[in-house]
Amino acid sequence: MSKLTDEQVNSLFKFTRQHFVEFYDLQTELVDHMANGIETLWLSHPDLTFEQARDREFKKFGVFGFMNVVEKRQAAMGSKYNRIVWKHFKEYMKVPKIVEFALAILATYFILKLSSFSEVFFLGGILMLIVFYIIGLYFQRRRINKNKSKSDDKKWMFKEMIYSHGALGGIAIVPLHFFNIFSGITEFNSMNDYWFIALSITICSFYLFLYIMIIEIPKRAEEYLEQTYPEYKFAD
Amino acid sequence: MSQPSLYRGNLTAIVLQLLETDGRMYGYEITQKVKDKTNGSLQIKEGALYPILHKLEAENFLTVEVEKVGKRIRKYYKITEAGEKERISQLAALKEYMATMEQLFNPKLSY
Repeated sequence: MSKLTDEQVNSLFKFTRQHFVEFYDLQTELVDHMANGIETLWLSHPDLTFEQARDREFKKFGVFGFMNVVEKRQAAMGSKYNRIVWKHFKEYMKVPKIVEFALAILATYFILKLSSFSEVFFLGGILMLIVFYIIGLYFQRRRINKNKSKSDDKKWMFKEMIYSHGALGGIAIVPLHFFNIFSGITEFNSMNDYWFIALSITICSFYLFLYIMIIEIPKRAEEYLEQTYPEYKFAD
Repeated sequence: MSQPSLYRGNLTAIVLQLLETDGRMYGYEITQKVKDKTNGSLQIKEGALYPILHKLEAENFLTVEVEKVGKRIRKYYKITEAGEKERISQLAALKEYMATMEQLFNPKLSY
């Protein structure tokens, strides 16, 4: 049975890249699939050249080529990522972490009550969030640089997902819109405590999600990547 | 309705069943095994197989193992405990569906 040479395998990697498969984890699987297909095809059609056999195998992926596989994989990885975020979030709903979360809600509640949505508080909030975001980005960059030895030229879909969600830090200012809305309410003093509590829980949950996505998950990136990609160890 | 569209809805059950009976397998092997077992009447399209495998993997119904074969990396899929439960539930749903179809198209007459 004719086997593909290393050079031909490399050219299959190039072929997948040319067909919009930029992630190495998917390239490896598609290359092995195509290689198996070509080798099997050569059994019945030994006269076919490598390129002819490759094109025949590629046609089996349909008119959109690898696109469908890439898109569906992205969706599957996206839901895996969301499940991890949710798992982290649920840890804050249990002892001992729930104590930290409850204290944060309590602190937010008192700040909201005492500040009465004042302008100083509004601007202070923006400044604090910008600082928080910059610190988060700094730590994230440091982590990325630390992990750079792991196959720089190879892109891993889940790795990109883990680190690109750090960019979501920009939406950290979203809750400030609450202040915009509520500061415009003239009868602010008439807002009852339940509203303050609900608002505090919403704001704290929002920031907890951001903290998980920007700090907690990237911190455990290697662990999650090794779980997701057993081939990660081959990549160096 | 063409046969492929009838099979398409049951691909997840087919893949889970195959991995349960034949142990760990890689993508290409699955396509060939299905072709062999059905004497070529069912051919899983590559564009349909991998999305299913990746979805099942992300849902923890499958786990993966890798082996280096020369310059190639071969990815094997294995059914997990959760996957086994899913397989049982999918097969039950499939059997129920087949029984309903049987009732519709081949009703037993009673006097």
